[in-house]
Amino acid sequence: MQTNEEAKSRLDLMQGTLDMLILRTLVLGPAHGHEIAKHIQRTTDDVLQVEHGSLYPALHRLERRGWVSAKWETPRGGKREFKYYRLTPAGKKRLTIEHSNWRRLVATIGRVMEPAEGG
Amino acid sequence: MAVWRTLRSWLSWFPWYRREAREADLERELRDHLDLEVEEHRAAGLSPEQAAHAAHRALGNTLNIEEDVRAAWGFQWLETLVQDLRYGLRMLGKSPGFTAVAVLTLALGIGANAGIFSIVNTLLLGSLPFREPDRLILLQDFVPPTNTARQFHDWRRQSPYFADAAAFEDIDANLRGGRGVIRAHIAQASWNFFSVLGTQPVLGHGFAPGDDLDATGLGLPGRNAVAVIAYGLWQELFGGDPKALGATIRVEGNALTVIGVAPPGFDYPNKTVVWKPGAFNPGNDGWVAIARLKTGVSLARARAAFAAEAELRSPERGGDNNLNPRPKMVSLRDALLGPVKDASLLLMAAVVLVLLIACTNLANLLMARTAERAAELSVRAALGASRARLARQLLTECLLLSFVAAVAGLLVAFWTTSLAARVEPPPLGAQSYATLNGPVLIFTVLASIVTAALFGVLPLLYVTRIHSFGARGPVRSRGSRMVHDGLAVTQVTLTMILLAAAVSVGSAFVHLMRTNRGYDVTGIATASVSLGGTTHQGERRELAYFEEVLDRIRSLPGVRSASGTEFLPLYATTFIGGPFGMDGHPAERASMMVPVFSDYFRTMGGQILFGREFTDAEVRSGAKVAVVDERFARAFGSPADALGRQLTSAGAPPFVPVPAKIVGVVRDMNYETDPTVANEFQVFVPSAHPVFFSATLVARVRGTAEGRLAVIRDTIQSVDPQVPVYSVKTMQQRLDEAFARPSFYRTAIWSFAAFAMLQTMIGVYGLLAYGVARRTNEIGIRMALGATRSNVARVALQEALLMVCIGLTVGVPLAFCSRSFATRLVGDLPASPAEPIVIGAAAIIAAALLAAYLPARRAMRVDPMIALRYE
Repeated sequence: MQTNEEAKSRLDLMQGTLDMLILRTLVLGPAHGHEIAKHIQRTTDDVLQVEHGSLYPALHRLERRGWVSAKWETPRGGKREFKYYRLTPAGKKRLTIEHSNWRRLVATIGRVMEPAEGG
Repeated sequence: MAVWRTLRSWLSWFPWYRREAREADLERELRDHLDLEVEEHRAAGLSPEQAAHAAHRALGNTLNIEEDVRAAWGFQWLETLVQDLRYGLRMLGKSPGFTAVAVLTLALGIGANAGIFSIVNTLLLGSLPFREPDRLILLQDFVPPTNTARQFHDWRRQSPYFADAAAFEDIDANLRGGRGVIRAHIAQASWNFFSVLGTQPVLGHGFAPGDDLDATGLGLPGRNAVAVIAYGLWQELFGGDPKALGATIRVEGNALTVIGVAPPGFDYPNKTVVWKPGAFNPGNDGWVAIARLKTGVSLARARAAFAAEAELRSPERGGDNNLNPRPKMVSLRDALLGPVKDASLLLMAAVVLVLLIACTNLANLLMARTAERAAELSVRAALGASRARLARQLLTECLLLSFVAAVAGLLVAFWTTSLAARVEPPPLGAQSYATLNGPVLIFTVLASIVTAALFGVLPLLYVTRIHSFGARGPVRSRGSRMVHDGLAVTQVTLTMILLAAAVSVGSAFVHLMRTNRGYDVTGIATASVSLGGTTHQGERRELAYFEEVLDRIRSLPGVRSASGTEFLPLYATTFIGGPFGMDGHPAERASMMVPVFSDYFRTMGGQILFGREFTDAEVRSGAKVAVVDERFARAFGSPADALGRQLTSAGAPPFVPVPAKIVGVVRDMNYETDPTVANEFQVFVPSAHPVFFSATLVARVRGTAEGRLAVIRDTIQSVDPQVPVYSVKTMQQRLDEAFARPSFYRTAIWSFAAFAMLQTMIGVYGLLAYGVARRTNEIGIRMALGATRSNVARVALQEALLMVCIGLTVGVPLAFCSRSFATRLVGDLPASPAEPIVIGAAAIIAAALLAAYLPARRAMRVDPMIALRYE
């Protein structure tokens, strides 16, 4: 449960970045939707607002493109089946591309916003 | 496994593949998420209700998420399409009348197009069963050096413009192979005939070099008595047995050994079924040369080289008369398909016009419907449908209509082609005009898409004007009226072109059929026989056979008279003849020589103008007497004065009985079936010993000739069952066959014109009816202000006439152009050029007035009181 103040301090996710974050998360191993959401939230100290609602269309889009694959599996020690997503080789390649794109973007924006530091 | 995986990944793009499972999957996935979230919140100490509430809030609206996920699956466009199609089907089902009219109109339009295209595709674009057929040329009215085989081969080896050439000659002959004797078409050719065409026998082999050096003539035995037979004949005579190689067949009694079987569909020239090595000897000028152009030599260059060579070899040729026709080089394709090409292209143009007319009507109908649906469309726009979405919806409906019509149209296409096949059998290599082959189906699909675009695009204009507010009623504007009127004017224009062509073709056809043929066609039975290879052949035994046959036919009950000839009228193939003249002065044109038996002119119903015909005694003795036709006689003065003078022919071969005393002058008989070609002069002689050992017997009977055919055939066969009797037909049947092609063109173009006319009437009616309904108020006011009923009706009629006049102004000049095309279908047009235009225009005006009648009457019946109360 968050207050309005808390919500304001969060960042809206840039369009397209969610795909990259999902792929990055799956590098650590297979995960189901809830785990992915929690992981992104946790690692960004709850700053990034991942709308659970937008997570699923993104996952299905990635699956459609063949970057992740999905399978119903029971976690070790569990009783219940969940839909686990894992990275495919194509997905790994895609992640590398998106990662380097992102790096360039950040560097470029950084140069514009803070020229002194950059120079 | 890999195959299965590929298949599954393909299937996964299909929206209905495992759709239920996929939906269930998604639902379960989202439920799992909620459950985990609830658990988490419970662990944090919330009450079950609070936890559930929080979880739902975190996830958001699951319906929206599902919708987004489905979009991610990427089936949106297909789902929309399916939605549109369903909606379209429902809309079409809601107005079955409109749908039926539209589908029927389009089916006729698209179907006729597909049918004619199928014919064009087969005839003009289809492949000929030769290697590189477009490099093959025919040398017409040019006899290559053919005194000996060696002379011919020397000539063909040193040509500057063709790589190789073959000579051939084809003729009908008696063929015995197995059971009975049949009449068959055979060709004799230089040994390289098959290699020039680039055709290999499918069984055995073709001729070998030198096969034509000592080949048998049609009547001469020789060393290399071999033959290649057609695929069909191989099936017929030998049941497709490879043992046919080495078997013996007899052509006109001469034994030939089968050495090869031609590929299926190969029957060049003229449906030949037996090819044998040619017998070259001096004096035969029946050879035709076929050549393959040298690589890199264009047809134009080859033509120039050929003209030079022809000039050198036969400088006397080149006159404009039929004695010495100028040698010509034509491409094989043109020679085979020339006359059909123009006709099928013209028919194609006509059916495209028909389709365009159908489109204009449908466009009008659809515009009216779209206007009626303006309310529905604006409601949908208000509910969030974009204009693009609405446009797509409307276009989908048009496409749907068009495709349904195209499927129905394939039936029409099939019907068209089977009709056409009767008058214009598919050429070499094509068994039939296929309607269900790739190119035709692609054409049909494209035609229906273009059609849908043509009639669907105008209604779209409305969509651009639809706003989510306003426009609850039908959209009307000055612009839309202009579009409506413009469509009607276009229709009138197109119909005018078709009507003028139809009238031209129709009157030319009537002229063709009314031509004085020089004989009476009704009540004549005919049958052909040939003595080639039978015991009656040669040494003047033929006449005895024919006399016996004629005696038996003449004694049949119901037979008034019987006779025979070697060349029956309408037989427009191989004639014999030459430069005949009178008293040693040759005529300017060549004449054909027609050997006949006694009583020929009486039997045929011919017109003897002066003198008499031959007696039994003259025929039996081979007396040197002749009957000439009026035109020949007139070339030497008054026809009556020809009697008693001498028919002469300088340098004529021995079988021509000249000089002969002219004993009769008759009206010429109609031999030529091509209306663009004039009949040759005709010279009749007693048929003492038939040149080709064959004759066509004719019998004039009481009552209908059909019923006598069987009896006459049996009677002929009773004389000698070994003699083949063929072409047993009435003269009327022969006439119908000879003119089947122009008759088909006439029927086709008339039905197109009738269809166009009907469409125009519907179009004019629809427009005026709409106009009157729209102006009910105005009419009411006018009547209240004192306009009479006839004033009101005149306004409606004037509007119709105005559209027709504008349409005719554009259409008449175009109709003049169409005339020259029509000439090519049925030959010279006897009517004055203005006649079809006047008739066509009058028909259109009458049709428009007729169509305007109902709306005008409705306008007259407008009650001013009621009309004004609506205000």
